Amino acid sequence: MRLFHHVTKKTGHILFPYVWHYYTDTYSGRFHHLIVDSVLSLIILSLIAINVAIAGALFLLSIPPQVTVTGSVPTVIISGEPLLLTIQYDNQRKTVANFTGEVITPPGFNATTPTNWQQPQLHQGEQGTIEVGGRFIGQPNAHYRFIILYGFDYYGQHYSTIIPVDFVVAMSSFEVVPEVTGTILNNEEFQWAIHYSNSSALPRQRACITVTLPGAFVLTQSSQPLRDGQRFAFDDLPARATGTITVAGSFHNAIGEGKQVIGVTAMDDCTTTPITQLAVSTPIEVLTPRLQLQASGPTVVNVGAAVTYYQTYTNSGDAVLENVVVTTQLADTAERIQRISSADGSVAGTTISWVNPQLAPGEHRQVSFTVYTNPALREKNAEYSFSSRATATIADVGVVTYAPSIRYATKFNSTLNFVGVERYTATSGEQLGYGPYPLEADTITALRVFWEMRDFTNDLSNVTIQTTLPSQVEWTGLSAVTAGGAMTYDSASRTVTWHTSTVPSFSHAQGGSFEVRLRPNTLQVGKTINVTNETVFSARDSFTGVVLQRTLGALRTDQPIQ
Amino acid sequence: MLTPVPNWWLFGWFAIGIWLWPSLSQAVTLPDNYPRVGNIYLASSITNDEARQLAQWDVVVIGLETQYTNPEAIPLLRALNPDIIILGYIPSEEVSLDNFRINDPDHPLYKIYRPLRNHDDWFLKNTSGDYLNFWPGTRMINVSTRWSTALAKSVSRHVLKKHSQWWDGVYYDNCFNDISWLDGSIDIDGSGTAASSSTADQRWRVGMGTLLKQTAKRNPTKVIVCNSSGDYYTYINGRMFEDFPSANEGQWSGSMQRYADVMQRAQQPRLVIVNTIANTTTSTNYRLMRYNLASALLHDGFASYDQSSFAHHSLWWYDEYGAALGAPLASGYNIQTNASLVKASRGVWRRNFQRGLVLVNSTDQNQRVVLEDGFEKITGTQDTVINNGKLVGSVTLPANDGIILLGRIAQVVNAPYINGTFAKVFSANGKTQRNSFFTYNGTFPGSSTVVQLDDINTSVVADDTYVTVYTNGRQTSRFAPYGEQFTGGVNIDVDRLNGKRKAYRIVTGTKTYGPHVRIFSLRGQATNPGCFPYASDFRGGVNVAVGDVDRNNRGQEIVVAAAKGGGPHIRILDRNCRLLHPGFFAYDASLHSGVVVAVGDVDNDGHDDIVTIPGAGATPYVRIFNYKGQALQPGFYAFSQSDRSGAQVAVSDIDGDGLNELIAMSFGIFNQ
Repeated sequence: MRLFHHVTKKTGHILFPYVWHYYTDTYSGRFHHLIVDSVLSLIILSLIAINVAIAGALFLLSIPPQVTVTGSVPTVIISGEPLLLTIQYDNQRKTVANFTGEVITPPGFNATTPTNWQQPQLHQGEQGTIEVGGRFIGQPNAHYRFIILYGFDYYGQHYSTIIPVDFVVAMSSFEVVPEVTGTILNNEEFQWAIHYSNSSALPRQRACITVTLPGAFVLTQSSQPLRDGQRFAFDDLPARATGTITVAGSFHNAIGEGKQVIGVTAMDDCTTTPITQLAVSTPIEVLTPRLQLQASGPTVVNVGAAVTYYQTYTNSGDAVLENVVVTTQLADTAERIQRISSADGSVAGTTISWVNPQLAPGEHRQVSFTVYTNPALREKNAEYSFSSRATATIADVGVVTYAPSIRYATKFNSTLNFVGVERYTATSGEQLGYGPYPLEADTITALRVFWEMRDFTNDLSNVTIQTTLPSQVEWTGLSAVTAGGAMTYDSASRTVTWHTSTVPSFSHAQGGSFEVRLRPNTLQVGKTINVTNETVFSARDSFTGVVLQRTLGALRTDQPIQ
Repeated sequence: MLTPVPNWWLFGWFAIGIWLWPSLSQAVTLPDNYPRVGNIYLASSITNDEARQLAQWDVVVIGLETQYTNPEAIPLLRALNPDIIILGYIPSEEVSLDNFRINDPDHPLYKIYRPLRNHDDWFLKNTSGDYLNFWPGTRMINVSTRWSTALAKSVSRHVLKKHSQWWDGVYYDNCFNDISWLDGSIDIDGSGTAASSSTADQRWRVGMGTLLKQTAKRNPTKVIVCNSSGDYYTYINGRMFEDFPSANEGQWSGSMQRYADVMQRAQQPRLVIVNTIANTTTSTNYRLMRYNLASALLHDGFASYDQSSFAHHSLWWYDEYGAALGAPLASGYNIQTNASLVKASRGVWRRNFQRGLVLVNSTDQNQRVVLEDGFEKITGTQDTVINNGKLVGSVTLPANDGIILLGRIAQVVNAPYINGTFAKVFSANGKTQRNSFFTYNGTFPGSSTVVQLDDINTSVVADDTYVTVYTNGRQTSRFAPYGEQFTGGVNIDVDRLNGKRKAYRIVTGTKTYGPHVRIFSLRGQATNPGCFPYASDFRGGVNVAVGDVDRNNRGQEIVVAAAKGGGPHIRILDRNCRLLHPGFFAYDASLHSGVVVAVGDVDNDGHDDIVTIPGAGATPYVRIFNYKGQALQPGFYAFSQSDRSGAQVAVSDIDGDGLNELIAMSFGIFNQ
């Protein structure tokens, strides 16, 4: 205990001399202690200051600054869409100066924001985000990398770091899909399509679709020009744009039954460094033509007619064909066709089919069906059509082949009811003629002759109606027409003519009328007499091109002369 | 270089103008629309109701005293018929004894006859000093005295000049050429001795001539009509044939020759009244009336038919009087001999007019007349056997009969029509007015819309794209109101949109597509950007019509209706295409056939009305409205109810009778 007391006393005296003396003797008589204590304290303070300085130097120089930078991109990268690189920084230890950075972008990235930065000072604990945006076009499934280079200065020292940000292109926003039939005949013209879509929110420049065509394929037509024999180019493809390119052509000299492949590739930046976006290929089986199908029948019919069509199928190959099936499908039947019949085929609704178990090479068969058109049809520019197709199995190889599909259309001539009538009164009772009626011998009676075009469904052009007047009938000069120019009368030939260039269907009632005077003689008493001779109507059906003709017999008085 | 005009030269023209002014400004003009009809209405007084009826005639002869007994009557006549010719009646050579009982000094007859009270020597007496008289209750006056001058002066001063705006002239009764026939001992010179017949007649003629000459000299702008037979044609404008065809004048042949004579020799304007008397109080001797009218129509006189020479105060109006024949095309002629009327003899006579003809059979037998071109009988209410409205190619005229036949109408004028349509003519209440006809002008394509403006000899034609204007047969302008790519059809109406004295304007609408109304001059210059009176996305077009429907006389309005497939909402625009009246529904609002409109005074009340008919697909029921949408008539079916082919309406004076008719047009007859 005494030792503890002694140590405490001496330690207190040494460490806190002013305190110790204050509470013990207040330096009374010991002023030399005061000097010693002061000197000692000064020394101690100096040592402490030295230590503190040493400690500070150690703190500054021996513990380096720490600025953390990370980079990230979205988890799904779509070529052609906007891409944002997000750079986050965090100064965890010490304030640094001249915080700078730069992003090295991969090829195909077109930055729309600055790719570098510079900050004079980055305080301790300061955090932040830098975004580098742009549009990236790359190849799907390929790896790409952003490289972030950054650095700062700290008490004369420069610190720098490189951060890579890797990503993989998941897919492209430039999509392309070929639509190709599965089977085609050699030399059969067919059409296939390339559907494309720029689903990006951004337009594309210099995009293209390249096609890889089999050597046997001969392109005859495409809806868009094919550049360099392989490329459909889009100098400017708008955002969200979709479309279809149709390609027509046929395979030539494709030998035997075999597969061919058509490839389609969507590409960006076609003119400089093409980047494949999506490559798709589709197989097509090319068959040697072995089955031929032909149809015959009228291409223009009158409403209400019964029309028979004949189809002939032929084995033009060198192998026996089995299970030959011909199928005909009628279209546009609503209200236009009353019924369908076939003596040698089976009819199911609007489909007719014929089956033949075997067809030897060079052998042909003919089938037929009859269409009964609707006599009540009153439709402008009406037509109906059918398409036929034949399939068969090649006996030797068991491959199903077919005959090219055929389409056959038949137009309806306009219905037309041309009426000629002589009237003394209208049906509503108004007097149209004058003089005695029934007609009397040696007395003048005037009548009105009507030419009426009724119930015509197609526009008519080049309409001409003509008649001649009997000798006892006189043209009075009064006429009226609903269209075209006036009626004319040639007194030398006694011919009345009305011509008009066009008469639209489904307009108001159409026709013309003219007045004639008759003076029967006494020999005609008890008989009816001609008011006009034969009347001839002709007009071109503007839809079918057929010249429609109607001939009316002589118009006669409806009552004997009195 | 201009030469200064001397002051005396200007003054001379001014003086001549002043001198000519009264005569030029008040000259009597005879009507140019036949038949001309006159009424000698010598009632003691004329009531206003009688005046209203008398206003139908072209010439009326009424007593001079009417200006005193009923001062309202004459202005009323003029108000009702501004073109009427009013002649004051006064005997030239006698005085009714009743007139001496008139003591009011303001009475014109008192003033005229007052000198006789102091001049007993002016009366015509025989050598025994007896007063002579020709007509019961009257006393003859000796016109060889100063009476002739006094009468001329009085008539001029107290009648013709005092009320110059009322009277167009004077009718002197009994302008005898001679007097010796009256009595064998006439004391013509007051000497107490009988003059010889020739002397008496000579002095009489001189006196009568003085009367007429003095009257004419004092009243150069007035007409003077006598019932004389020829000696005074140097001074007078015409005469009256009384009791035509009278035996005194040589029956029909003699009368017609005298009729031809007066029409050649009398002063202009020649005013002849051919009066026939029924000698009964009943008005139903239609044959005699027709005989009179048809005979009068062979020359340019005025037909008159009344009870008797003792009772010239009938208000008998006949269906034939309202027939509008227009102006004569030539003189009358004998259809058998082709002779002219100067040597008229009994036979069948014909005269052609702009809108018809007249036939007279002056023989004693029925005569059949063949008319190769066909004519239309009058649609009458009196002698319906004759005036049955039928089309005829021949007529059989009974002896001493006549007939008016109307030419067949061939075209609507002054209103839009669809070229080639069958047209029916109605009154406002749906009564058929004339035979139906095809309204057609072969110069233009069928189905085009045509407006023929008679007053400027111009036709405006609209087709599917263009509006073309023809004046005097030559194309003067052509334009596409809706562009040359538009083929939907153009509607038009043409009228003096900005006022009756302003230029014509073509108002266009569309038959399909947007309901765009536009306004053009006849030269095709747009005078207004136009407007869309209905929703601009309506594709059925708009029908247009023009007229003064708001009755303010300040320009006209444009009445519109939605066309194909539109509702029946009629709207009224002002002349600048601004909405003036929200409009009304002409038919049930559920009707969607569109409506065709026309504007005109169809009920002839002086105000334009709105006429509507539904478009294709609906029954052709005509309705008539005022601009407030109030129906003025119950309406009627213009065509069969089953005819839904679509119709057009127009309002026009199609027969030239001064009254508008309602015309409904359709192509439906080609579907019968």
